[in-house]
Amino acid sequence: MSSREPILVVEGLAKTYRTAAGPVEALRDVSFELARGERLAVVGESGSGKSTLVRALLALVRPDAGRVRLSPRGAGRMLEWSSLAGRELARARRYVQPVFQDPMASLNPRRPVIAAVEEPLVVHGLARGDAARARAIALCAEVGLEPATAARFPHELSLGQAQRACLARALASEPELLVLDEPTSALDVGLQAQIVNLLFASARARELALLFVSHDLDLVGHVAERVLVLERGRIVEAGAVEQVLDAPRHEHTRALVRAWQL
Amino acid sequence: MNARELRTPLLAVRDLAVHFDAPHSASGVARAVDGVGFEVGEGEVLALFGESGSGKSVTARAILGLVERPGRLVAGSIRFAGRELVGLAESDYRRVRGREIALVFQDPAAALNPVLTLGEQLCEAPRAHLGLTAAAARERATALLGELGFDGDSGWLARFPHQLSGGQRQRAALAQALLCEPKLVLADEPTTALDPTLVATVVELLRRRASERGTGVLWITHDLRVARSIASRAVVLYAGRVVETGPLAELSRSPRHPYTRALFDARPSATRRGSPLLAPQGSAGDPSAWPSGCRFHPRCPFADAACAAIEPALARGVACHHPLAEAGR
Ligand SMILES: Nc1ncnc2c1ncn2[C@@H]1O[C@H](COP(=O)(O)OP(=O)(O)OP(=O)(O)O)[C@@H](O)[C@H]1O
Ligand SMILES: Nc1ncnc2c1ncn2[C@@H]1O[C@H](COP(=O)(O)OP(=O)(O)OP(=O)(O)O)[C@@H](O)[C@H]1O
Ligand SMILES: [Mg+2]
Ligand SMILES: [Mg+2]
Repeated sequence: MSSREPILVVEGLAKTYRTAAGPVEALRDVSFELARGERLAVVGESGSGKSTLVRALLALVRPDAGRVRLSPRGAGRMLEWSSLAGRELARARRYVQPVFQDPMASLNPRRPVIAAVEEPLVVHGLARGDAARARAIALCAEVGLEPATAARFPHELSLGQAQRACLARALASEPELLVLDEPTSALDVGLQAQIVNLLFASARARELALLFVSHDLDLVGHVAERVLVLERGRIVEAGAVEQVLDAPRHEHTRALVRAWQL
Repeated sequence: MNARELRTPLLAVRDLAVHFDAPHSASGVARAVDGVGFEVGEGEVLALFGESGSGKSVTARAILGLVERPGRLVAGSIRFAGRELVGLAESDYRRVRGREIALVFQDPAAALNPVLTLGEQLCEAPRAHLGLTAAAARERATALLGELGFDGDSGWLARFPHQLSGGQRQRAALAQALLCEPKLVLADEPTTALDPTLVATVVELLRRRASERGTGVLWITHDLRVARSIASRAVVLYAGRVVETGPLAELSRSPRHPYTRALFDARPSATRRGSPLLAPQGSAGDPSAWPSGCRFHPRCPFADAACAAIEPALARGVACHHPLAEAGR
């Protein structure tokens, strides 16, 4: 692991869902750290707990056990992220922004997408009125959305266009950690490349840390410095990207790498 | 030419155009799909490529008669097993939809009903279309889920969509489309949320359906890597038009249209790890104002005055005034 200061410290995270057919243990004793500006990928088979981890890190599900701490420069101190609530949590959300797999579910169907990009600017007091609109248009341009397209409603966009809007929204509040759950699986490869390059550039320029979930091992190889491998809710392997992808040690990682080579 | 190619194709789309009202644009109309044609034979898997917004999903929805206002199917013909679908009465279309042609929605959330359990929604179609009993429908659904990598226990049918992981939801939507064994499957990005092992499982399942039962598959994707393992031919869309078509092996080895090459080069595997990806610059623009001439010309490194003025026709598989030579340029 790098010697950089951590932005995120996760300790002993556990989560079990209850269903009609019995309990589902989605996360078991998950611990790791993420340094400022570091790019970490999370991989693992379908149902291994990746999205549950993401939701826990975004304070969208309450873990049954464990602790998540966050140390944004903007806050100037370590936050007990997993026990924040109410206004404090709402304020701190600007430092940790999500991009989900399904963009349509993240956008308000009754408002043009430009409004979704503008909203965090206003909510977090970063800009108002015309300045907020201009900043939102610039963010849209950065992710390749024409103003005419950004003025449309979510259902009037292709999935890829909607996902670009979500990314622009996520970058709006000047976060220090982006948590991305299969952010580019709805995007075409060209756009994926544009966005990955953009993420890369922002991550470098702003010391923006990335935690991203992906099934695309080539993409993981490109973006990540470090990789975590989950199987049935547990971390079974963690290490530098070259080591995990080129010389996997755990059987589960080997199976993924083998299948990728088709 | 073999016997299969001489027969009526399972699906023949000709000069299809789907436009949307675009009241806020100067032209007032967004030409999302604008003269698209291709065929899918029985037992054939055809890959439909194209970047975001190029018209892939709109094309698939048009085939199923699902274009809704402000969209309109303004021109073209869609023949399925020799029968014209354009202009078909909604009541007749309903018999085709799901039973003969099934769509695997790009967005699994759109395919699954959030308030019904998987069992309730998966078993409905086989009972209605195939006249199966409730028990037989459950058995069929469980078996198909098993083929799609869900572990053997039966608890899955009792779950609601929100109680599934993303990949589980995508496979449930796939199961829903395949359950009645349609003759034609329109698979809109069906493996984007799946891990590599499951991608291989789904590819294998559809390949088997194609070769054993003659199912035709339109495999909508922008992922050349996966497409190569399943499709034999491909069509490339750009800005609502077909820009290139041909055997996929040839297309990926030596693309003739500069756009096709840019599309394939953008894959992370095409560049060295850690170096910036080869991203095509800019975007295709908005469908209410496509560029003149060749719609790709503003982004094309080889464009000249002719490209800006005259739209190239699709000839010998490529619509380009300056197609790339065999070995590239
Ligand atoms: N209901 C609608 N109203 C207006 N425009 C629409 C509507 N639905 C789609 N469009 C437009 O039609 C064009 C084609 O969209 P389509 O969904 O077919 O793209 P796609 O090729 O499937 O892209 P993706 O890879 O992002 O899924 C896009 O520009 C989109 O914005
Ligand atoms: N709300 C829920 N209720 C019950 N079970 C759930 C719920 N959400 C997820 N699960 C289950 O928890 C496990 C982990 O799900 P999760 O979504 O974290 O997986 P994932 O690794 O993101 O998978 P994928 O790659 O398919 O997206 C799965 O077995 C899933 O079925
Ligand atoms: Mg997930
Ligand atoms: Mg689409």
